[in-house]
Amino acid sequence: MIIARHRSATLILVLAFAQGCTTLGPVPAAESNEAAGVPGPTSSNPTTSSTADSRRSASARASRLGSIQDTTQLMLAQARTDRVAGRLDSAESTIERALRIEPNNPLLWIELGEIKLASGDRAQARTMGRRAMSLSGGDAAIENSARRLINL
Amino acid sequence: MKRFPKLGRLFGFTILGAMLGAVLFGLYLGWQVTREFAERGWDTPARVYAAPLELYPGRQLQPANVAAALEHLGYTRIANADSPGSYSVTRQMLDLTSRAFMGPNGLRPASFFRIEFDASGIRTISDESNTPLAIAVLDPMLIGSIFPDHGEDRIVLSPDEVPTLLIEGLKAVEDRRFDNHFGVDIRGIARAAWVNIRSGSLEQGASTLTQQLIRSYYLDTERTWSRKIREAFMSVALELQKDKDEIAHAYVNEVYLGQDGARAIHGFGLAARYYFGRPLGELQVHQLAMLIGQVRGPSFYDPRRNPQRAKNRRDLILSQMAAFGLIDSQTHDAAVQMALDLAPTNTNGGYYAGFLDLVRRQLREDYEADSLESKGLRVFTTIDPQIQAVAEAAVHDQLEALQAARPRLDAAVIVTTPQNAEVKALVGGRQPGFNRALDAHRQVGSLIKPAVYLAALESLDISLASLIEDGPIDVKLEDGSVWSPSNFEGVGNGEVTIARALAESLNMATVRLGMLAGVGHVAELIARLGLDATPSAFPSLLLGAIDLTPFEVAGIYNTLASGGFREPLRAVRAVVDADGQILQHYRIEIEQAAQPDAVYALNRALVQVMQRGTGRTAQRRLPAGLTTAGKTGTSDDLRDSWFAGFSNDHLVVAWVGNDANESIGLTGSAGAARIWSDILADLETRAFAPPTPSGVADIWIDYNTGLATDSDCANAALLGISTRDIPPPARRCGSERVRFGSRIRRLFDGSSK
Repeated sequence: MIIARHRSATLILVLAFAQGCTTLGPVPAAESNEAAGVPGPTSSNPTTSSTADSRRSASARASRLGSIQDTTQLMLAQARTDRVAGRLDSAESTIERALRIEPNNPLLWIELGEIKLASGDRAQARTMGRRAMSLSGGDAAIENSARRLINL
Repeated sequence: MKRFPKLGRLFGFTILGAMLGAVLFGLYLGWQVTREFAERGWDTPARVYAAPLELYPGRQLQPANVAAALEHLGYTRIANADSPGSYSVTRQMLDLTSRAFMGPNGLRPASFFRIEFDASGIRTISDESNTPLAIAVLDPMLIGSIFPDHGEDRIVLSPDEVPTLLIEGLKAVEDRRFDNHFGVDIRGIARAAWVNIRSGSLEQGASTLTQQLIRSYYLDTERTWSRKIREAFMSVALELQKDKDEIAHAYVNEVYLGQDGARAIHGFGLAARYYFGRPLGELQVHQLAMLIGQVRGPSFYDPRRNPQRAKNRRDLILSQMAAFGLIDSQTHDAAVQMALDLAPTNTNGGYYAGFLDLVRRQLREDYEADSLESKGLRVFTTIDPQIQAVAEAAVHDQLEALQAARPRLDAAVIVTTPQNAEVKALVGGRQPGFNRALDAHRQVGSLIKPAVYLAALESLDISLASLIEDGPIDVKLEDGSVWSPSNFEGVGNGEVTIARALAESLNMATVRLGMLAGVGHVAELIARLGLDATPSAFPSLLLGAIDLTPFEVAGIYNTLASGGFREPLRAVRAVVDADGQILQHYRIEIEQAAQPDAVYALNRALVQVMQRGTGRTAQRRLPAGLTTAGKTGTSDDLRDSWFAGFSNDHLVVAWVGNDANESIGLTGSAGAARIWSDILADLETRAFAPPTPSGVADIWIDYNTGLATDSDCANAALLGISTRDIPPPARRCGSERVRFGSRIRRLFDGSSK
């Protein structure tokens, strides 16, 4: 089953992830400004107090195919699109799948918190914020997003 | 005419009475058999599926790994992977066509995927039009069904999943007049009788498929006339109420086809899985023929014990199929050339009794037994068949190796993915039956110590570099007596770092620390981490005088592995009704059970357990660079051997012991740790390396003195220390001072750093 097709040149996502209601048409996502505004996933192997150095920049990530981070990035974009469009069940399935691939990525936990919030579960949204915070590795942007959820 | 009126009347009444009796008897048997038929309602029990295999770019798998996973799913390797359930593989590329499947999100058609690899793993995945994909999700393996009282050992097929060739072949071989007779084949009986009379023995039977079905219902193989008459009555009664298709369908799901130890193999769905490791629908002609051949004598024709006999029987079936025009002569000639193509038997034949037990228990919390057994639900679970196979093999191999002259050893294993608390594998013992993973309440010993240290980190102003006295301690108990615990080795070690006390599982230091933190606090924390009720707060709790099941232990350690966030371990992802509508998604729902900073620090110390403490041997059996965090557990008198530990992606809990609770003479590291490292070494898993929370710094600390040191010093251990608690640096490599006996005096008063 296809979740997302990735045309590298245009970064267009075609999603045939038949979650409940519909198959989506082409959805522009992960465009440069959004991708740049989003802190990258944490490195999988921070052994020192600083993880920022080992994190690849968003632009470097967007230009490359074939990494785990690309996969979860696409899923994150898909989950956001679904959430904004109100397809919460589909969004949650996608983000859970991404978390199976990259469980320590705080952005995925933040998105799960947003989905819980959109589903009306503020308590779970707050807990997801705390989970993201514990994985932030000191990244200020992630901590801000996490704090927003924690302070709901 | 009226010569014998009374006699005639008597005769008439007798006939009438006999007929009435026969009718009543027939009605009774008919009622009995239709009730049995309905109770078995083969098209309605919940079907249970494993988690699907998910392939995506960046996943660290090579073609051989993916091929192995596909073989496990029963995919066939062919030259051109264009039929569902097939794949082809070259050095850098693997093509596959998945099977169509009704999943929790609707129908997934059979799809072609091309997977290309590079040195680090999967590089790209594309579809038949060469479009790159982010992920390929394959059809999940059907692992069983949920039944009222027949156990879970059956794979029930719906009529459209049964190949026509199987039904036609069964008729040709077993019951040629099936479509026309009324349950009993008079002509067949006459023919058989003639053969038997001529040969003077009971050579030929003439049981119809209907009669065989009924025989199977009542597990009655005795060849007596009364049994045969009852069977005939029931067959006719069943034929009167059910049509031929229903009877043939029930037969396919019911007939006895083999024996796997204590487990009877009933139904062609399970037999296909048991003998060939594939769904029935994918079997080739020669494989179907072999299964049909089993009907007559599963033990006599057992293909694993009597391969030549099974092949002769198969070839006979094939020629009969050809004679009846079911296959053409070319197909026949090709099929008889084929080997038996049996699946290897290194695992429990895909029979996940222990895990299915957990699935049923979790579903019972939300569903009536009736809905599970009769509403045709589809249950999507979390089990990973490959991880399950690894766990089963590890239990099997290590128990064989450890058994020797000990009391009979048994084991339990649970594997989870900590971040979503999914159960990926569960082994309840050597054999299906008593589910030790869920039901064996056993003393956990030192396995409980991380909770003591976490309680201390939470409530006392200390760090892992703080020192504590590992010397004799007297604890006054409520009844006035005095408890004086000793170390495993008997002797104390003087002042030690908290990290070392945990790594080397020092009892006296642990009790001292636990008494400072408060036994009540420790008990309450254990419950917070993963139990339903708070255990009794006796001081002996600090050394693990508490009976827990492996499942409860896994719950507690899962919370540690996920950084202090608790989630009940889940075996089910979703339940879908017979119409494909989602009834329930079981989502990630977590609660914060402990402070992430403290859990992070604790986990760093559990890494030290593996690197220089009691988990050393287990760590050495893992691939280099696979950092893990873990803990051994040994109960009093060496009755229980435990090991619990985790990487970034997997938690594995293993228990070894004896059902009668006899001493097995194994510590945690000598017994369960071997199973643990066998499993972890075989998983696709990443090093444990959680991001450092803010407010914590990873600092190189001298393991013995607790002073800050350099990474290249002999006793340097990387510990998570609160930025408020950074200890002073040691001169050179600090341990030298210890080696010369000038131990630093840092009196532990509950507030020193």
